Amino acid sequence: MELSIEIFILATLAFGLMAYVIGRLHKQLGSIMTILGSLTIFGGIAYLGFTGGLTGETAYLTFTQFEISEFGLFFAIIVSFVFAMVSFFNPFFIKQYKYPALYSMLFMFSLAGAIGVFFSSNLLYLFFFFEFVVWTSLFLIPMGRSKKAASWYYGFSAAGSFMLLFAILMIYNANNGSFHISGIGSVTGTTQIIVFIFMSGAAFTKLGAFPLHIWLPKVLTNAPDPVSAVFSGGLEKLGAFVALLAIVNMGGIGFIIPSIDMYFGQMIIATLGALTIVFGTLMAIRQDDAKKLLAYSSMSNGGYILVGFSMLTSQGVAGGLYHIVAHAIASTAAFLAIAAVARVAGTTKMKELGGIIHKMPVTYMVYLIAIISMAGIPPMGGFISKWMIFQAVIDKGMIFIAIATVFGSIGSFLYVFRPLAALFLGQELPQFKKTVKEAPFFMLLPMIILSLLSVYTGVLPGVIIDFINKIFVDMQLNYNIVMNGFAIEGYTSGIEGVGPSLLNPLLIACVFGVGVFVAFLIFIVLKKSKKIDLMDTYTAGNFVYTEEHLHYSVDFYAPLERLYEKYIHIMKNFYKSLANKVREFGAFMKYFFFTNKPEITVFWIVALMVFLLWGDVL
Amino acid sequence: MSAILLIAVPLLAAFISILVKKVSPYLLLLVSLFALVYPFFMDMSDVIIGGFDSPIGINLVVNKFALTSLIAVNGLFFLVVAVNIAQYKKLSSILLVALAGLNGLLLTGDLFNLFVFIEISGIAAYLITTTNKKPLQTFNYLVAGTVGSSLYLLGLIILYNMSGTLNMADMATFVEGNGMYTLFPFLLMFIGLGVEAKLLPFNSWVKGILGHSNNLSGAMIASVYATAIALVFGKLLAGVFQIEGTLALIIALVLGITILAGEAMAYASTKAREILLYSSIAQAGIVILLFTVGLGAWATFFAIANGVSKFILFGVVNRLTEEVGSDEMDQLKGSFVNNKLIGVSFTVAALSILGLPLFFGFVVKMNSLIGFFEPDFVSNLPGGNFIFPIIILVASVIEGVYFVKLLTKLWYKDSDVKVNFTPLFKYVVVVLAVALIVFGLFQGEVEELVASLINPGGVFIWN
Amino acid sequence: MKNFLALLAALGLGVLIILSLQNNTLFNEYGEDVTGRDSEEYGDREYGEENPASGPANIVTSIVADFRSFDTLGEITVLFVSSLGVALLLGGTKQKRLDLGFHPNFMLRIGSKALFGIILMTGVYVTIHGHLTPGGGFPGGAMIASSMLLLYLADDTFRAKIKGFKILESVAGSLYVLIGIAGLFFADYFLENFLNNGVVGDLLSAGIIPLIYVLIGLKVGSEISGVIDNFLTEEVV
Repeated sequence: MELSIEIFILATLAFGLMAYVIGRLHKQLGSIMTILGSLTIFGGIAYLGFTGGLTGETAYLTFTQFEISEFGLFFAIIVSFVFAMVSFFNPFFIKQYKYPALYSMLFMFSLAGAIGVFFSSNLLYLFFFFEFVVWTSLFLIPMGRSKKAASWYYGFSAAGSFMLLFAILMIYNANNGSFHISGIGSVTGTTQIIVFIFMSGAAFTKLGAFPLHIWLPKVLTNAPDPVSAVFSGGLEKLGAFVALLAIVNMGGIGFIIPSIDMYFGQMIIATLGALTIVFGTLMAIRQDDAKKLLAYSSMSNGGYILVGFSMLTSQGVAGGLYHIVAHAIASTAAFLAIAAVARVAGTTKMKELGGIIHKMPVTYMVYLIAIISMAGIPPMGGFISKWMIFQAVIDKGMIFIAIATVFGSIGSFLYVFRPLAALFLGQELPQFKKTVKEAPFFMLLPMIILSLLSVYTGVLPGVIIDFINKIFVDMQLNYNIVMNGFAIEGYTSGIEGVGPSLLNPLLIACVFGVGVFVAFLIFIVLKKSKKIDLMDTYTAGNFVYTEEHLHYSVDFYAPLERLYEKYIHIMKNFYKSLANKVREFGAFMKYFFFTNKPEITVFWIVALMVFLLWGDVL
Repeated sequence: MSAILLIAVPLLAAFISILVKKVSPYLLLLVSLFALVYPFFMDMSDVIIGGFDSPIGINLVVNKFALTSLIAVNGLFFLVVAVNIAQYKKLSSILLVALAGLNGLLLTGDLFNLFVFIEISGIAAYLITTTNKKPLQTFNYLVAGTVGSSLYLLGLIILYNMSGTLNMADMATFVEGNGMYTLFPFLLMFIGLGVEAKLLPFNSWVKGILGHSNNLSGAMIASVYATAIALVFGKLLAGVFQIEGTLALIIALVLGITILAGEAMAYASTKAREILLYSSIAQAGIVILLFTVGLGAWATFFAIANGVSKFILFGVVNRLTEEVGSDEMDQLKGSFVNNKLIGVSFTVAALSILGLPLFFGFVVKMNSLIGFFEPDFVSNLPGGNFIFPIIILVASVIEGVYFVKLLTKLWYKDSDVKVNFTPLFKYVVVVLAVALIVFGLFQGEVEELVASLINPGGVFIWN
Repeated sequence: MKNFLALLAALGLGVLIILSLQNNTLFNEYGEDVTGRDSEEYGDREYGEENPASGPANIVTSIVADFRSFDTLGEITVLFVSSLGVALLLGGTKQKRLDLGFHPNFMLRIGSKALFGIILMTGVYVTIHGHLTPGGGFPGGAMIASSMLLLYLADDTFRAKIKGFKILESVAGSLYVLIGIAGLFFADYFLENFLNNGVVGDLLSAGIIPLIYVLIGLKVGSEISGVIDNFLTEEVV
């Protein structure tokens, strides 16, 4: 069977419209349409993509062109999968929204836009779809907690997409008026550098990388809970897509730094990527809101993708691509788990929660698996990707980047453990005893699927590595990852007779499984712990009024935070003051030019004339 | 059929209308409908007046540019009138004169005749703004406008002394051969028109006028007049003074500052109407910048797209303000919760101004920007062309932030603001919003239309 | 101080304009001579000729009311819309005369009435002979209006019949446009001189030009009179 990709885009839009119409009649039915729609789209794209049945012909959207590329397919499958999984949550959340029908429609529209981005071979329409995603997703955000997040999001997104546009237009100019995507690779000289800078800028904003990350935590924290999952798992990957086009596809930028055999441009990206990791980790550690914590973790994971890509080696780029998959799965699962908790508990603040495991054991497991993957612990997908990125970085001899990546990994132990402990473990809070119960089956289903996939990608990486190799061939890159049985071949050491290093996830998983089993035995055998009340704290004989401040998750890492809390808001303050400067400039201009006195106008006319005629007659 | 009827019929109607005050609103509606329909039946021609061939006599130039402008401006004019006339019956005669003046502006091929029409439409505009009930602001507008048109006249006098012709096409050849000498009069004329076109720093009147506008004056000045003046400006910049070199660069820089300052001022404002008016300053800057660098065809459509959007934006905000009693954003918050249809149209208009895809604004903004990067594009500016797309893009980012802020406030806050819009207004606004979407979807057709504005010779005005 | 600065700025601008034009050779070149320019054609006729290209003996008139008659139509529209504006802002329903602060004596009242006729006649004469002698519709109309002003100033109870002026104004303006449209039908172009030009210098010559000038005179006269009336009356509170 063959189908054009435009059919999928149009079908997604049609599903969106249907979801709107039906949603106007019945809220839940409309959101069920989003499940049907995104599942159909995901299934169609994945099935046809793997069987080679997708074509890029256009019969209706004749103004643009599509091409089926392996990397486009890669991203499209991931993102439509994330949308499909998240869509299961829509019916359960739809009542919270101010405009439920609109929500369903825009949900589908942003999926359509994302698919359009991944398959466009016309750069202008790639931008078209890019912007389309921006404004459709824009109106999803204010349905959540804060209205301000939307303008932050738009400001950064617009800056990012306009950077992309500028790069595209430079390419257009350099390639004799052609918008074809292959033009990215064929620019040279100064243009190449400009294109590289602006495209990376676009990638950074979408990915939420330092220093253009401010919007990400704001949006992920304040957006409706399922939308946060969509952003973190799906739409953020648009940035990775642009990063792939810019960093990997364009090749080395600038001169080569001899000592580490790396291009200057890639060096900068790697450094910023490392900063993103460190910054995201440090910020995540000090959050009290589980969603915000995950948001910063999402940011720091974006840094890994950038670091991987910027290495420009087989292991690095493959690691980056693998991390896209692993992170998409893990962060979607984590956000969905938090969403499931928030739905019944009504909050995501850690100090207000506790002991949810007694009522929601499956959700707990899902979250546990997700954070294991995010922290890069075997046997989950995140482990493989991070391992490959470590390898690539160390192979390049970039010691500081390596430290940053390892720091990020260790840091993630520190922070992902906290929501686990604060939300799920500990004693059950009295106020949740009646209200909280396990999520319904249709919410558990996507979470379980995601968890299984997390394990699958961590144990049997073969399928995805094959796919990545196909992408390399498709992009005409000289990279290749060799699979040795179930093991991934790494670098050959300098010692003669010693073959390439091997990473055998299956073996690791088995060892790990044994370890877990042993731990479980110990857990069973040992005496049960004594149950006490969560707020059973002594406070010098005083009665405690604000007991949640004494929750053990409050100020958990206070000593660590004190080390850097002074510097943490540097970028945020920078953007705030930038906005203030614009406002001040505007107010100044208003004061200066817009008075109630017409003579001021006359004065300016004279002044301008004198200025313009200065060189001519005076 | 002769294009002259577009001017003569409204004038005749205006003269008659003072005798038959009762029916004058209907006369106005009828004539403005006529003015909207008539351009569709006009042939492209050089219309001679009084039997003297140009350049001796006055002529009207009907080319594709004029036709496009006429349809857009008269269309907007008709809608503004149709929606508001019931409330402002007293202004019927003045609006008829304004219609004649605007059509004259767009049609005339004579520089002095243009001045006459600037005066006619200008005085009509002052009178329209008297309905704001802010006499001092109207007076400021009057002073600024008069200074502007005097400067235009002064420049024209000097030019006439040098060239001996008032005909635009003739003047274009003269200016081409004597670029250096025409610099000074050009500047005078540029500043003169700049006052009306809201360019910084000659636009202090705008705040007083649009900041206190009502249903009629807001839409009239910000949408109809702004479009017409921008197009006239374009006609002069693209058809008569094809400025180049350092002068073009300086002017472009002034425009660049206008754009950025306009957006910054809008960003610094908290009143809905102020936001819109400063944004229209920036938009005017962009349109004229496009004309200056030589991207006239798209600039034309930029102006039209902006006019349509501003009609919706000002119309809705003024109505809301009238009902709520304040145009502070915080007072208006949640207004769209109970007025979804109006809200959606408003959103479409705003998104179109931001240049987001699916809407007309995207098509024009994108193509204007592509114009800068066209490999065979020869800009009128020396070197460094790419700085201006960056200015436009930066401006768009600022613009986006405050529009999104405005939209989220109007949509997502809870409030019990309930404003009744007349059904007619609703229809008009929805039709315009749909038009913005349709033009945004059929971009191929729009591109063809625009391409047809440009002659094979590359000049786009004088067919 | 502020005024002084303003004066300085104005002077500076003036000097600037003069300076910039001084260096401009093109500007100086065409000081007097119009040979070879478009405008040369405007003055090309002699007294007593029959049917020259453009009829009136008065060259200024031929420019104002023939070559650029369309501009003139525009100018009277400017005046028209201004008077509309005055009426819009000052005109109310019930109006009485503004208190001038003095009561005219008998001599003034009678004398002004005598003078009124003379001024009116001069105005009419200037208007009718616009195509032959200096003057024409605009100054003629202004004279007619000034005769009205005299009556208004000389008598604090006088009020003209504004309704009549309105009708005159409307009819004159409409006729102007209609003559223009007639040109479109009887000849080929709007405002074309479709009547016989006659002999240059005769009172009945130059085709439609005297007609137009009379209309202009009437229109200007009635409009300014209307404005005067609006200025010198006030609403009854």
